[in-house]
Amino acid sequence: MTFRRSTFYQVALIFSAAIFTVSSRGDQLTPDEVKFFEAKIRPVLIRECYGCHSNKSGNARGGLRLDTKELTHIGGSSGAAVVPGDLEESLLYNAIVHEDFVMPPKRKLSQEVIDDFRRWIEMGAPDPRVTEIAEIRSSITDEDIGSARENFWAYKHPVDPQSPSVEHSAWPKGKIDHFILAKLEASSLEPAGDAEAYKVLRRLCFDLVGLPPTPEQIDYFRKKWDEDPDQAIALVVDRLLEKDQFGERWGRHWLDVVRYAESTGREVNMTYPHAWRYRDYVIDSFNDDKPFNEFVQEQIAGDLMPVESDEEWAEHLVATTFLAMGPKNVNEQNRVQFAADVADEQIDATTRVFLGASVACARCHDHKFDAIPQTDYYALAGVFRNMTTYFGNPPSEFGAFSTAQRKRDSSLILLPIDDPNPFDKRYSQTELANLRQELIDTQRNAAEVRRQARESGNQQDAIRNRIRTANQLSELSGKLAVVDQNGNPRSYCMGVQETSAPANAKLLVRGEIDQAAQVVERGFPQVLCSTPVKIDPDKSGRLELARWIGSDQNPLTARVMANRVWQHMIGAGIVTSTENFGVTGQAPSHPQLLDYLAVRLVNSGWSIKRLVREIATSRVYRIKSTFNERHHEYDPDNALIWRANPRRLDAESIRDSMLVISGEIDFDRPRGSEVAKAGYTRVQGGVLGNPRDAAKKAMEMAGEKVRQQMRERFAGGRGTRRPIGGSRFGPGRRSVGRGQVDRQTRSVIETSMREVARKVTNQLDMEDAKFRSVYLPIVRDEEPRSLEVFDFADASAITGTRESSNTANQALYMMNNPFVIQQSQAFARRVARDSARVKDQVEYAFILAYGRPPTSGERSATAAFVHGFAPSMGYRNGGGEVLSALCQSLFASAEFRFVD
Amino acid sequence: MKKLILSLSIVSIALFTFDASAKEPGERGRRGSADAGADGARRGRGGPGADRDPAQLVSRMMQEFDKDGDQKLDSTELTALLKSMRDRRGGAARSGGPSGARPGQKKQGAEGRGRRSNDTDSARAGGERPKRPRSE
Repeated sequence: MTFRRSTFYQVALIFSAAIFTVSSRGDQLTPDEVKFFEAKIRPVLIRECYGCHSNKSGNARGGLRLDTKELTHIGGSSGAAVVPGDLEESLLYNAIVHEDFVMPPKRKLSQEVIDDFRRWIEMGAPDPRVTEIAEIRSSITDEDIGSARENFWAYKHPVDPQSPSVEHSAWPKGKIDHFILAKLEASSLEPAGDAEAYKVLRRLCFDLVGLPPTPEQIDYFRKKWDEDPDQAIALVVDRLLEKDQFGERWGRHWLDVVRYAESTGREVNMTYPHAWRYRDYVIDSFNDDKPFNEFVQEQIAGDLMPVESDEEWAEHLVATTFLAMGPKNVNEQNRVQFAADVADEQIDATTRVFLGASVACARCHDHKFDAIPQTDYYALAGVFRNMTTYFGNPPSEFGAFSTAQRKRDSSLILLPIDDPNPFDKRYSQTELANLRQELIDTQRNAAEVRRQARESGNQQDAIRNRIRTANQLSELSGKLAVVDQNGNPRSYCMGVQETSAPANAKLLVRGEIDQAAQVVERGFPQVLCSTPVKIDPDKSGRLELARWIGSDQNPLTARVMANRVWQHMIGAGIVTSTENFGVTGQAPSHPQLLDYLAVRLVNSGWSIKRLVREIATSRVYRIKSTFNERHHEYDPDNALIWRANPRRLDAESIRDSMLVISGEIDFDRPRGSEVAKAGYTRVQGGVLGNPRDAAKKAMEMAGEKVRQQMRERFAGGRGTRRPIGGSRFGPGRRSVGRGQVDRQTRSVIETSMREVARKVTNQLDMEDAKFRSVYLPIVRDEEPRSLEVFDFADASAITGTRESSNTANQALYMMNNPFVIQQSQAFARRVARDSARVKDQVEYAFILAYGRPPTSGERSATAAFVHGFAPSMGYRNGGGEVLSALCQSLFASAEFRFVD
Repeated sequence: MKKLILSLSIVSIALFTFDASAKEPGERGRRGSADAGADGARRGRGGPGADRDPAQLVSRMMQEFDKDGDQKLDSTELTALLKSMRDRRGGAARSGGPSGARPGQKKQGAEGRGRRSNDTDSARAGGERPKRPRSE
């Protein structure tokens, strides 16, 4: 007992001593520390640095000021001057030892002074200098906030409205129709009649699964429609909702809103090789009809939500990729600025995506229009800054290596369960050993480069070499980091993790990181909280935020999502500014209908599928798009929905439709993505990785291809007179001379080179891919051509409503793009397989492309085209070429691109 | 029992000291003033309510570090607690040791000039093991 007691006291003593030591590292400086700073550090700073780097001198060269503790830590344009405890990160130390920077500019400080600074930084840079902190007062008063909360439509709780009475009581099929018809009748307008069956089916198919109906579906639907249109629609809707393609279609809508992309974007565009897990999570969530409130909560705080199994935990972790996949300026020199920008982007995304509120406007000042004071922004910033965001690549056993361009790195989260079917590259033991050896050699090389740089006068070469070796080190380390000791890939996801000690954020005057004002307690925008949400001081508040946003007490979440669903079904939102439900946003055209849909969403257990079903089976969904001059004069925007909105198909539907119609589509979900294959690398000029390597690869591939073709062609010796075979140049009955051979050789080489170069340099376009468009690689600023030309969502922005343009580029794309030509040829082959008669082929082609047979005018126009075009082809297989051209013209037509 | 009480007392005093020292200079003062001032009290943010209850902290720390649930911190648990606190205060370097390198980590980095990548200082080789969320 005596022994145990003495052990206990020993432990307690050590513990107390440790605590005392730790606490003394804080702001309670010991007298020795103060003395050290005042005697050894401050005089040197005043004498050597303040002249060019202080507020008092009015000089802040390189943006660096050293006359306060905070400014010293924030640093200047190159980064933090002092990072307590970290000599390597402290640029002040780097400069005084004349490593990368040289300070003072014309001489070196004495070794004794340098040692003092080293000791000071290693001590934790104790600094007694205190900065006067201003308190920023908001111009938005409590009364303003209370008034907005009570009076502004979006901040009031949605209530289930009474169904309005209508004169034409036979028209409505449900409550939705009552709201629409009541508004129309109030304006003395009447809704258009019902559209034809095939048009309604086409609408349903594109809206629910993003694909055109097959001829068999059209026949079946028409029969059912003739019996009972309501039942026919209900039947098709139920079937479509059960298809996996529903999640792919609606998941893509969500990916637009959450700015899904597989790279950082901005100046240095680094890949996110694990973002695809989030894409698949979203698609699966829509297919499973996951309650929308849970879906929301998982994305904001999945890492904090209680789980029952590792599988559930892994899924929740993947969901938090939402917070990690925003655009990032990874070449930002200043880590404080970077952290502030990341949190700002997360706040902006969270509030606009889920709440339709632009809180991020209050980063620099009180919101100019909404009742959101700047303190509310920093209250929310406190919630978001208490987490670590994982978006890059983990360090290897050799450490982490940044490059000249990529200053801000991050690790990744290991999934709690290994992916049973890992996608990433596996290395053999030999490959692993070679990689390690290469890294060690490169490190030696880097050291040599540094030595040479110090000794030789050629600084340009030195810099070039240093950049090159740093890139090599980063790449090698990145490869080693993501595999275990046996070379097997580990399973990662992007996401966030809570930091251990939550703290409040300081308000920053004008959003400037070096202009800190008062500390603001963590909280949520007051104007949206009728009762303040309490945050446990020991927690960041993110879980509470997720629960509050995903709660039926929140006035905005259900409204914002119901409005999006309406927009995707009808063509325009009830609130057309889908991500701005604030004062500067558009007022709802049908406020009662919006409330009704929001309440229905909540009451259905937050089921998106049920909401989609209710809208799809309404009367207003099936009306014609017929123009009416009187109605148009009264309501040119069709806000009251007196007719259906004709809509151009979005980019994915256009590409997927071509694949479906040609019969080439592959409905299986591809594993990972093209970006995942490339790993963590930089994207430049549309190429994943080093463009030089890509060019080299292209040359090698082209060379090999040319050699192969030459071997095939000139098996009997160069220039011998022999027939040329192959379908491309005819059946091979002509003989050619040396001159012709040379021309053909040149042509083969040129064609091969062009083809290979296109494939390599347009790697991200994936023109040969046959899977659905949602699985194409989405790299910021390098979106695939097939999507980008048809107004694909800007992956760096939160996009609730895409543009819908009609441009010459689109026409040129449909005329010349290799993918379109490939698909037209496949379409033609499919049509030719179905029937040998041209008349039947044309009929079938129209049904496949438009869902209807050709009209008599179209038949004669097609006949004229065939007769006019066939002779110009000049080839024996001209029939195939003509049919292919006809199919391409169907793809290029307006009717194909529009849903009426 | 006495041992438990004594142990808890020391832990609570120590943690309170630690917690108080973890705040920014002037932060406590500002919180107080914000609470006292008419404008500062508007949101109720920055008030004394933000200060932590030592008992709660002890309870949380015990929950987190008392792995065997015996309501005592043995040497392993105490080491883990101290390590956590050290990490929280900025790594090994804070206690005067060599600057926070992980075992085996080479401090080679940007442009081969011996600087580490600076956002992964606390990152583990091979990736971050997530913290399992607490059950409710």
